[in-house]
Amino acid sequence: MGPFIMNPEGVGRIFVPLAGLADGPFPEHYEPIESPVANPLHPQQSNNPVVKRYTTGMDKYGTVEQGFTVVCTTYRLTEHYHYWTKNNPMNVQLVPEPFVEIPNELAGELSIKGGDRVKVSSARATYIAKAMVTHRIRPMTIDGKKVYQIGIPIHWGYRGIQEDEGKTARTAANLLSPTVTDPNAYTPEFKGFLVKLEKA
Amino acid sequence: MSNGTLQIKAISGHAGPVPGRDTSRDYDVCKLIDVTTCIGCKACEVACVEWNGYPFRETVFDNTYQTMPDLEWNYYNLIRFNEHIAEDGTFSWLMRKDQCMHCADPGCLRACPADGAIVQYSNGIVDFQQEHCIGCEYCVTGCPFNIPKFNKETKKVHKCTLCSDRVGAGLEPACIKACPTGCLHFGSKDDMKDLAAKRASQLREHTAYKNAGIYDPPGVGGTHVIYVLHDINNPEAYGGLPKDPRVPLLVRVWKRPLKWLGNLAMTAGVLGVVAHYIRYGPKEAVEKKETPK
Amino acid sequence: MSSEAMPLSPASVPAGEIQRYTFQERLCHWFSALTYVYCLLTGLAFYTPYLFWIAVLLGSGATSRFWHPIVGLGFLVSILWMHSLWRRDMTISGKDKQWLDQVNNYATNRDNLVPPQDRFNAGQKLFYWVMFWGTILLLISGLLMWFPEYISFRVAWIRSLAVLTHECAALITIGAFIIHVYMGLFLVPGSGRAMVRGHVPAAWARVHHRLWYDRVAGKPSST
Repeated sequence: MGPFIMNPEGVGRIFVPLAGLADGPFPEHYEPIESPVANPLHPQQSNNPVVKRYTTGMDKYGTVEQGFTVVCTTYRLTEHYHYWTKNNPMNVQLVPEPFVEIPNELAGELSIKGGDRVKVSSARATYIAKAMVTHRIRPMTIDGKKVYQIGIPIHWGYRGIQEDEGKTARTAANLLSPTVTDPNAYTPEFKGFLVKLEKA
Repeated sequence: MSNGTLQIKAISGHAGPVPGRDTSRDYDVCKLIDVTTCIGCKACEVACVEWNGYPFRETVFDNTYQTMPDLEWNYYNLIRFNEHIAEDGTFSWLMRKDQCMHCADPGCLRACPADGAIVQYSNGIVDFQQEHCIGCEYCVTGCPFNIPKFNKETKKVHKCTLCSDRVGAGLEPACIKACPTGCLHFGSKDDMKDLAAKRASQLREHTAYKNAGIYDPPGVGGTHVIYVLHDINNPEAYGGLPKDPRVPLLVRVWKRPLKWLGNLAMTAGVLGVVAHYIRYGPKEAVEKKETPK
Repeated sequence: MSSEAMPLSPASVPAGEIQRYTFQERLCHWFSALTYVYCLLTGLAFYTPYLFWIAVLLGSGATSRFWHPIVGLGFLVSILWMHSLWRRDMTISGKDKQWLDQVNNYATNRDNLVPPQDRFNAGQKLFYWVMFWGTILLLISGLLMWFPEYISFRVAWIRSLAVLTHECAALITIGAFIIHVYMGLFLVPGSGRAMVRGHVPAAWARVHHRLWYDRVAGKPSST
């Protein structure tokens, strides 16, 4: 048996029958829904035309012109398993608090020091956590513009050991990110969106 | 923790020779830490705390991925995170698993005054025996790596045991077992040196780390925990790994020549006054002029 | 303590004797002696494995280690107390130089060649100052040894320097202590009794501390 057990014909496909894929099969570069630049390949169609969007009140998108100038990405940490480990004391011990990773240069511009509370806002929500000022994220030059990126690890937001009764409940980082999903696999676009950063 | 299945070859604060001093029942064991493949997941920290049965503690965010600033008496194993910018501007994020190095010539054992509080097994593991520890913290002074940590409540000092309880039963240390990337290896010292040499030469030949090398400092007679470092010339960048660790000179002076000079001097002092008494006798309060002898 | 407590009235000094040490001075001395001897014994136990049995005898290694620095602070208190009592008497003067020139004759009991001395002779003063400055050294190094974990590892040499200093200072005081005990108990009969009872025969005072005797003889005790 071949590896393509999910296809009735049992082999891989290049030409997709019956609109099996909403998008593809050949790869194409699109900018995220929220991007600091227009797609350099084809500025008229900057992002994916068939992306899956939702239409609730939360589904708003920000632009650079509105002040959302910083690119934000979210990720998990090696210490964590998704959100589950928030109830395991050992994992909580390893990473006690949520934080926002901020490039050294951006922190300097906003006079943010490591451990300061910062507020990250997108068109949809705000998120407050401590700043981790680092050299690991460097400013990027995209389409001739200097663009900063910040990073927010997910793991906090529901009740857990660190957020138990009597302590401040924390908001989820995913309130910041846009709920738009890739049309084939429905993978949400949590890796690149626009935010504002300020001291809290 | 004491371990009856391992043969002891050196004992702290012990008068006279040590049973098992010249035995070679066990081969030297060694932990190899290849920092070039560490991803900083801290699984080893958790495994260490869980195996040793130490409790969860509250930590605080300190602008770093590092769990806490330093090792603690019940936290033997800490990944030290360092953002290092080389002179040429190259950036690297260095992660080093910090714990007892199990020196062949342990400064802690040399400095310890309590009989049997620190032992060195014939397989090279240096172990603290808390039941004999008197809490003087001389080991803290003797250690060139700043490893032993004092428990203020029990007045005992603790550090990594290299899982002597597991190794004595034929198991690998807990941290080795937990490592997901294969960055940690455990075996005989010879095997680990071989493996480390292969990895270091692989790094030198196939990567930009032209100074990759093995950290097995000869100043303390070699260690039973060795590192493969990207840059062997700059171990300090990895959270203060000393370049040429040695048992502090003053500790060596204190424990060898000064000890014997002092013993000699005190004995001579006591014998001296006895001799003086026998020769000259007491000064009686007699009020008459004596003629000089 | 009873009405005998300080200052001793001349009536409590037997006829033919004069007061040498007040009650307070004697109390201070023996408090000092007790604390010093405890620190000495436990210190020797930590000093060499061949004497570690002393620590076991005094409870256990851990017990000895626990009390050694605390009793050491007690010894410091006794030294400061003593300093407040004897500072003036212990001041080194020009006459002490003459005594020190004759120290060979003093050591070989040719005491008639030794110049007369005040309340304390130069040897006693030297012992006092060796113990005083030794205690200061022991205090500083001892505090550093008590809490080595608070000394940054970057200056770890301070930790080992402290241990070395403590040991050297201790050895120096031990040398002085051996001579002190020998002289007090054996070499100069009557001096041990003086430190216990507080008074000495007038003849003793005349022989050993002529200048002091001349100063206080016949007068009510004021020391």
